[in-house]
Amino acid sequence: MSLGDWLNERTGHRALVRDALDEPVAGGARWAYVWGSALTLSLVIQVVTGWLLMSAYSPSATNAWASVHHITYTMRAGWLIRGVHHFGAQAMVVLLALHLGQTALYGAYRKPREMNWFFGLGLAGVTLGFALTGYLLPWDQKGYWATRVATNIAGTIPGIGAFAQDLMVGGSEYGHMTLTRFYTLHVGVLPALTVALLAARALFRKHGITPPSSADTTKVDLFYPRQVGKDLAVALVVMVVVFGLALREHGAPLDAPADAASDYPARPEWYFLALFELLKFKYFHGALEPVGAVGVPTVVIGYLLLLPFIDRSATPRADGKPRSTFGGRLLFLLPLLLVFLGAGGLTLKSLRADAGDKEFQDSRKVASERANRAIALAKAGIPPEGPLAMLRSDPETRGAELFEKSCATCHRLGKIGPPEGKDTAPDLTGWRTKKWVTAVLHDPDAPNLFGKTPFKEQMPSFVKPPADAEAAKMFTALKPEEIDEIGTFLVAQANGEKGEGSPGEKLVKQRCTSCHRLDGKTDDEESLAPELRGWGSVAWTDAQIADPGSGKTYPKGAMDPKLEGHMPAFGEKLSEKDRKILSQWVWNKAGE
Amino acid sequence: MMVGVGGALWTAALLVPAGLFATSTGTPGAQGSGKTRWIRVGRLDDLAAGEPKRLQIVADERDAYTVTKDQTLGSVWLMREGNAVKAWSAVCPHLGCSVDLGSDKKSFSCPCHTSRFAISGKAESGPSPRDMDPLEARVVDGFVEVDFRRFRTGITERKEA
Repeated sequence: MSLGDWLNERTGHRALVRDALDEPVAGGARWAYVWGSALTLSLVIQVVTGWLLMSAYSPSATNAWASVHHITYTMRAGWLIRGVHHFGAQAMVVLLALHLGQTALYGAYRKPREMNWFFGLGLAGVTLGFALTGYLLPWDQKGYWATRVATNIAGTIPGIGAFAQDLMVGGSEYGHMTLTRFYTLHVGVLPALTVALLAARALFRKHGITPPSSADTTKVDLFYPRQVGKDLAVALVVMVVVFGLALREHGAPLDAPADAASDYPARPEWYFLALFELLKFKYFHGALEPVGAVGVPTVVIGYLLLLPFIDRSATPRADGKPRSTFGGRLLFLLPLLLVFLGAGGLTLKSLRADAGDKEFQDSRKVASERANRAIALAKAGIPPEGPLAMLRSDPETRGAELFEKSCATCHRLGKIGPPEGKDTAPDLTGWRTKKWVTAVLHDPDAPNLFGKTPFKEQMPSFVKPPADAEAAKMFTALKPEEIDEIGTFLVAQANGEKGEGSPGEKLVKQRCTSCHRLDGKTDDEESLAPELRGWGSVAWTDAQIADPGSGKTYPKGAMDPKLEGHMPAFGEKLSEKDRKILSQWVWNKAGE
Repeated sequence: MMVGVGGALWTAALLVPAGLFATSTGTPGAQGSGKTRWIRVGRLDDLAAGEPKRLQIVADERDAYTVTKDQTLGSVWLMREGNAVKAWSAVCPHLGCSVDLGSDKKSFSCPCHTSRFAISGKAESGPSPRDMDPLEARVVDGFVEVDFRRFRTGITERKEA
């Protein structure tokens, strides 16, 4: 007696398997019937990859991003597992639409299969629930902001909105509790619902497939092998597509760590883009917002649920004649088709709007630079305070942010600065280089130097003679080699070298200290010209940011309120740590 | 036949990466990655010749993705011999308890299963399958540095964990 016989005697499994495989497919096997099986096999992929991800993922606001980074960039095949889970989820949304579309088109929702239709709709809802909850779990900017918008939408529902929102978020703010709640739904509640709905569908599947009215129902295939073969072929194609996408993206995208204080151009996943676009219409602004965000989807879901009762073509007419089926059904499906086309149109509109929106593209670029930086930094390990703390203490990232927030309304440095022409302070691009020094000596009042500052006309050109004829007589222009020496001396100062006794220092003492300070000494104590010893160094920059009138850079008079538009002191506006990061960053960038 | 091949392909495509991922347990940069890691543990002058002393290993700890600065990772036994230092892991090679100095101060003993080791680290009695695990030690500018490593326990062979 074989093991199979032994088992069969006790479980009767052979009859069960035969029943399943030999189920008659009326009208013959068809490609139209493959979607249910493809969905089931995709679900198996999601379950297996999901378990694997669970074994490494950590659902906490400090660790989630770090663990996803670890999965993607450190663990063997981690990028592939995560990529397959990510794209597998999207494949399920597509397959779901195809399956429901096929069911609707074949009229398989009609009597006596209403319950199957309801179970299917339930599973569709659960699938979207998986997509929505899963999107947040990496705790990156993309998931964080998209989900925040989604829960805020829930909050606009009159009556229960606020309660529903707090329930989902686990409080009023996003944090640890939000993540554990979404995680519980994603790996506990929704899988249980899926199993329950699938079991119900299998147990209560009294009626088999619905062949189209044109099918020759005298022809009957068995489920195995012809339908199984078709199902499997499609499942393999789905797998190739999902693996292909995962390979192309080398996993799945990971945005920068979630940052509640950032400006992020939030967009939902593509299958929610239509809803997103809908909310841009002005009819849905203000009090009618919940109508767009919740009302429209509710009407669509309601229509789907009522469809078996609206389309009664499966019931013979009172006179006993069969009702016309396919043509009549199209009438009932027309609203759904219109909604589908409308959603498609909105999705395209949204994608095109973003593609043509320079501001969106720019902020998208900033966001992906930040993401790349975070991903690169995290490879050396993440501090226990989490990835955001890591990014915040990264001089490169934090420096740029601080410059943008504190300096860029007046100063420009490289790509960061006020809108074109709105600069009111010197352009710091190349500041502390010889080129910049040369430019100042040529024309200090150039619009990108001091021409738009209260210091305009305080310093003369050392190349062009003054307009006043008397003064012009006294004027000796600096020779190019002298300018070069002064430049060398000042660049040395910026690099923290003393440069004492150099030809440049002598020239500075001859030509500049009549107004400027060098080691605090000047011929003109009233002058507002800054200290040149250590000019452009990190310490000088830091002192200037802390208080431009401390005497370490500019003298007290430079902070006189009568000098409208002078630089403010940031000593009390920035923490010492941030200020040090900022001055180091400005120094680095200006030297490039 | 075709169905069988297709099914096998589908299953393999899922299970091969799954197996690779599930067995991916090493973290580069973490302890036990085989790299030499010299850690300064104390001054040579603080060690009396011929008298074993236990010092703590303080270094950055990498736990998968989290790196925590200046954590106590464990301890080592050190013994000064002239201007050189001998070092042993304080982890008992039997089942990983911490080896302490014997009451006679001239031997090591493990409090868990009473393994005893000579002052040279040689296993003398009890269940320990091997001698205490020696570590590389050197003296740099008067400071003792140890190449800190961990070993698998319970086996005769000395294998890094």
